[in-house]
Amino acid sequence: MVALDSDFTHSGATAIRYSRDFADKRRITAAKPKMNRLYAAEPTPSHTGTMADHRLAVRAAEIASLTDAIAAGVGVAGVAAPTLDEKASAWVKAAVADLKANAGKSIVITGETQSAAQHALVLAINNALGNLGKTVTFTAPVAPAATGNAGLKALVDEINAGAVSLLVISDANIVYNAPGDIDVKSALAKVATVVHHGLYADETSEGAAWHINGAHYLESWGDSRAFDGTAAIQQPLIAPLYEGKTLLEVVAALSGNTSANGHDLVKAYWKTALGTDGYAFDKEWQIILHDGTVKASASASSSATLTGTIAATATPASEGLEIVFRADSSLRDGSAANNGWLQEVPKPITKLVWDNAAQVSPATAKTLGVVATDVVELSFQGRTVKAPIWIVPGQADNTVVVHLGFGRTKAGKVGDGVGFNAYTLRGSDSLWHGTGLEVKKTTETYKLATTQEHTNLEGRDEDIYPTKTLADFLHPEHHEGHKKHEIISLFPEYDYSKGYQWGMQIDLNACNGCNACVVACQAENNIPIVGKEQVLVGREMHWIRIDTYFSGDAESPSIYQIPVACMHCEHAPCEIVCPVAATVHDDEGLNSMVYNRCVGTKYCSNNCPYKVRRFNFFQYVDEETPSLKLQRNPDVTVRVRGVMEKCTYCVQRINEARIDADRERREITDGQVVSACQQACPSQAIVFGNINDASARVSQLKALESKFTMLDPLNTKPRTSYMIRLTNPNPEFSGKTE
Amino acid sequence: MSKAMSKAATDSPATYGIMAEFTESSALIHAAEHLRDAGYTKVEAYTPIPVHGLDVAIGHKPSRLPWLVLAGGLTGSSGLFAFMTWVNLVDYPMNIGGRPHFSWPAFVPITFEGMVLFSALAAVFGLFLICGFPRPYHPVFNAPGFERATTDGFFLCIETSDPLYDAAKAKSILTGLGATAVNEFSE
Amino acid sequence: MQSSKQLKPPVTETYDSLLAPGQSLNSVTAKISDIILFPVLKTPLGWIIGFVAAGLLLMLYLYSLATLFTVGIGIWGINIPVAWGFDIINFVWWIGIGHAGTLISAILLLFRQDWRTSINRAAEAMTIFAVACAGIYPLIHTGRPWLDYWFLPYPSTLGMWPQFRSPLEWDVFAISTYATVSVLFWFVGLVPDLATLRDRSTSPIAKTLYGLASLGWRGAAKHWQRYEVASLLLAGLSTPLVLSVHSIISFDFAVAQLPGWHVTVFPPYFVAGAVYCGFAMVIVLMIPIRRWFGLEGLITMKHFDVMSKVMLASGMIVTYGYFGEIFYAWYSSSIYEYYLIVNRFTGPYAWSYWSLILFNVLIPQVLWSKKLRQNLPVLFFVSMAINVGMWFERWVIIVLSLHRDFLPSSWASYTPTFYDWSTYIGSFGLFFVLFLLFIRFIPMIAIFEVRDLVHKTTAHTAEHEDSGHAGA
Repeated sequence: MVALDSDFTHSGATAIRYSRDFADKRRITAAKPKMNRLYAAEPTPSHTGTMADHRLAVRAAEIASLTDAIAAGVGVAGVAAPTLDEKASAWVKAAVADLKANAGKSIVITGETQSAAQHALVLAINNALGNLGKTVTFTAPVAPAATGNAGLKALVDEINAGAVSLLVISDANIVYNAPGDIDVKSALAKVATVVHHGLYADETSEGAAWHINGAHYLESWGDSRAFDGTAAIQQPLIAPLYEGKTLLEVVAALSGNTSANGHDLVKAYWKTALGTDGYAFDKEWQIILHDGTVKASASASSSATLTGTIAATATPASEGLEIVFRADSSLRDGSAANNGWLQEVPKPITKLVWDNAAQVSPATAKTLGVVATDVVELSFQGRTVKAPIWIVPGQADNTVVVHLGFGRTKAGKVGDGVGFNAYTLRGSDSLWHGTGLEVKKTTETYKLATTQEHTNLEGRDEDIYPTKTLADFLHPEHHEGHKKHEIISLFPEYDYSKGYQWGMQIDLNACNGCNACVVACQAENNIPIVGKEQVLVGREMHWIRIDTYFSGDAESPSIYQIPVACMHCEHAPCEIVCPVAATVHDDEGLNSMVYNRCVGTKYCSNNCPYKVRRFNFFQYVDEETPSLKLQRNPDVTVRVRGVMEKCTYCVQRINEARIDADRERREITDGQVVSACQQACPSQAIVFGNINDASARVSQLKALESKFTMLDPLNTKPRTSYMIRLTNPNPEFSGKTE
Repeated sequence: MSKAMSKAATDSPATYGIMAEFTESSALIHAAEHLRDAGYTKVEAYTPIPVHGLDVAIGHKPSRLPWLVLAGGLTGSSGLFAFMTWVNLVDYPMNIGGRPHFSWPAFVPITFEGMVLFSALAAVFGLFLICGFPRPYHPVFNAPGFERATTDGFFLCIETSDPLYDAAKAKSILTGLGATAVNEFSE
Repeated sequence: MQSSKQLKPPVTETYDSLLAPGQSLNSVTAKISDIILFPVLKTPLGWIIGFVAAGLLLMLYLYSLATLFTVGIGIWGINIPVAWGFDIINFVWWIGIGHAGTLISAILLLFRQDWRTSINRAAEAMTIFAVACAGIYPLIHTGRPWLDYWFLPYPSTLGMWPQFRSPLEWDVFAISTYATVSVLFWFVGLVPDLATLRDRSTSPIAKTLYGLASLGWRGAAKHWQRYEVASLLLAGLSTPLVLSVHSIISFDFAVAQLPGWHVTVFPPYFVAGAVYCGFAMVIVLMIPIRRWFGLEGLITMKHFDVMSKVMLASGMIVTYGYFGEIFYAWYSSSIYEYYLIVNRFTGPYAWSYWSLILFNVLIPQVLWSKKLRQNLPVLFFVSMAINVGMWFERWVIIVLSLHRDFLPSSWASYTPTFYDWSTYIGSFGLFFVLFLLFIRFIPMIAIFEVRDLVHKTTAHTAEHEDSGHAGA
């Protein structure tokens, strides 16, 4: 696979599906010891890039010439190979060779931030390789063709021409997120009546005459289509908390039907769409609501052929700094800026929270003469914004990456004033990248909060993150004498052979560091947020974290991501040092944290080598706000100040499963207990289950050769094990391996 | 029988004994030995410092205190060890880090401290108990010049309850042994 | 207390003997008692100023604690991974200081070292007040201090008992035993002196209070016999007690598995370190006090000479511990242990490690010189350096081991906050308030023990004279 500026496991409507499928092909089994091989070229490390076997850091502006080179290499007519530097050449050569060797079983993919011409060329490459119809499928378009900013620009022009007297804006914060060269704010002032409909009173509603409060999607009736065309009914979980109106209801009202409610509108639509009536429709409707999706609504695949020739896409990339705009991984376009969870979930790779930064590579930082947290002035197309520097090993040189979604002025109590607004720099002709950026140093510095300060493995690879190439794993050269020696114990072991014994396996070949598990755990377990100041001190509360390490040289490092939560050690070092027995081992192998017994000496945290324990240094949980009380999981204790907490293997879910099984007079089956992190993981990296059941998936995974436990020499005997990271580098390409 | 009896308050208090003051401890020891050999049993010395050999000179028996302390120590150590064992094996056994319930090496520090604590309590409160403390008032405080007993005075007292007690005889013996002052005093 | 208006007589220092010549039982009793036996209203200005200053620091302390309880231990700089910071550093520092007092009272009694007599009372008082300051820290450093009583084994409606394998639980027993035994030992030692004060004081209130406190002591030979036995037994108990208490404190670290904590040399190394800084603190207190109260005749240069030697010896053991740790790091072939030393030498807190070496190892080497041992300004400076050095030692052990342990992803830093400092400095307020009350109302030198020493030396000289005469 070749990914050209495509973070396909993380962005786009297809991300979750591709994550899963990609991970499935990375997993080897005894029966099928084969892995796919990923080449990734990108300006800044992405989730997908960290999984790549061969990763090339290249400026966004130069992706096009890279694509041209590949096209020329695989024989797309009419494309001449451009000259590339040595590293890129070697990479392209290897990629092309592999693609040709796997024609029809390969895929080249490019990202949503690249141009239409680029996408066309990539299709041509796939065509030349014979992938169309095999690995690349076509369907009728699912979403309506977006006009994007061309439409916004046209609208503003029309307003300025005086052609608009009533403007209804729904869920579009155009005053905030329009590119810097489109002045929406003054345009809106010229419209006679602006009606704003949305969840929040935000930057755009400030100039509006009317604001209709919107219903949250979890309070709304509606429908949607997946990327493959499958239709689903959007069903609310609760009635609107603040009497909000959905877009369906607003549009219906505008058409004169002011008393319509979302449910009736949706039902009426589908009655027509399905073409059934009366009892038959009611039955079908109930089935759809139960299933969630409409059966057999996926689009049929169509075929496509390439007519004509493709021109080369690359324009000579100008020298100098380029700026790359990216949607923030959790705040997206900024509409989620008021969501504390999303502000505090650490950004991938950088682990920054509550801020965005101007990210540069180590070499570029040196050239510019800046270090991390220095504030610089970024100037692009005459627009300027101040930003703090952050250094990202593995980013392309001469590229500055900024994330959108910050610098909001009217997001709410949580989101106001967080970070700087990169939209002001964005140009409507260079939405995702552009060259000609100027960086000026200032004398200021700005504190950036990160949840992980140190990203070097310090030679501890063997105990923390062992990696092997697939070849070495399948054919170990010599047995290295390194048979894992049994550690002798001075005392008899507990007998864990009876009953349920819970354990977990995390597949490092599948984890791309997307943070879904982090947020899922926060939601499930009532974990509070602590804010930027407290993260600066080092008191973030996430029970599971993604540790990111850079290995190798700073210019093209291997990037490792490990989800780390409580290991539930059989020889738990935390348990023996608690003076009040607030943390003990239950008979199913869980290390239990007894909140109401904890006095808060914090010795358990000191003795935990994995540092997975979290402490409530202040009363972090908001016990007052009524809507937050609604939000919390009633099955999980809400912790007070002074109490230690940590991952519980979702013990509330285990207990719920046990109660259900008892009621039905049966055993708990494999897969009945799903921890929150396991449930949310798009690539199924986390597997949880009963290790006493040999047929359980987790037991089978733990029996594999590739299993390892972290910090083995300490003999903590953790119940959470990992599968070592296997890489599949091209043996002829000795230049860069992951 | 010369035991003085306490009368009503209007009567003058009975004599408690005779107090002799010495300037040096050697003289005091010598006098005490003499009295002991002469058969006096209700004799006591009062000194501002512990004087080596004085208790033997008077004829005091060795103290029982060390036995009390031993008893205290054994109680404390075995009691706490037994308690911890009972808690972990009988009352509420728990799986703490996969360690055995009877983790006797881990019980050692507290057992040791228990030994020390109970021994010390036995020593201190045993001392007070046996000596009859607190007792703010005692007849000997009435002896003239007795306040020097806590500065530099060495005193020797024969109580009237002693069968051999005779005021005049005692006075002459004591003066002969080198006492600088001899006085009778009342309760 | 002599009024500061009086001209102080020129000081003649005694170098070769524990007592200045020409003293009697009466003279030493008078000297020591007269320091405190006078009306409260005539307390000299110096003491009052000191007491007010200490009182202000005590107010700071109480304010810090009040904020701590109402807002949370987040007002300190601790975090994950450095969950123990100033709280435990200062806890161990204060306890360490306390051990010198017990050593002087108890261990030196067992070894029949006469030089302990002038200093043991004040040293024991220092122990008790230091243990008080120390003992508060484990109680306040918990996240929910109102539940600290769960550390005690009592039959609870929860059906729960403490977890006895935890070194913190051992601490509970060790420190309560140590506090109890120290107070009892100190009080028992005080009883004869309180009787002296009862008999010498003229104010009826003082007489009553000292009288009640002295329990009716009259110096009876039978009582002295039991008293000596009790003192010897208590000394014999306190000796292993002091060794066990600081060993148990060291187990707070040694039982954990952190590199830098999991070190077998810790028990003797901690005990030696405690003796080291304890003696340093005794010297720091004694040098000004003997000057202010004119006690140069009872606390002589010989005392300082011997104390310095003890300090030097314990300092060498501590130095051995430092070299030991470096050796273990290399010998263990463990990358974690090895990195511990690399971090100490070159990491972000290397300045604290090198300060430690300077204050604890290098500066005290001057004590090899007899001349410098008996130079009071030099000795004062060296003792202060040792106190600071031992503070750095606890900092290095706690912070440097916690902030960078096994997983580099959890490496972080620790910055103490205003409240970390205010709690620590405020605890000095508590210490000095107690200490000033002590020197105002309680004889700071064990009167009867010094009398005993005078008695022994005069008896000895008398014997010598006799035998001399006999010979001649």
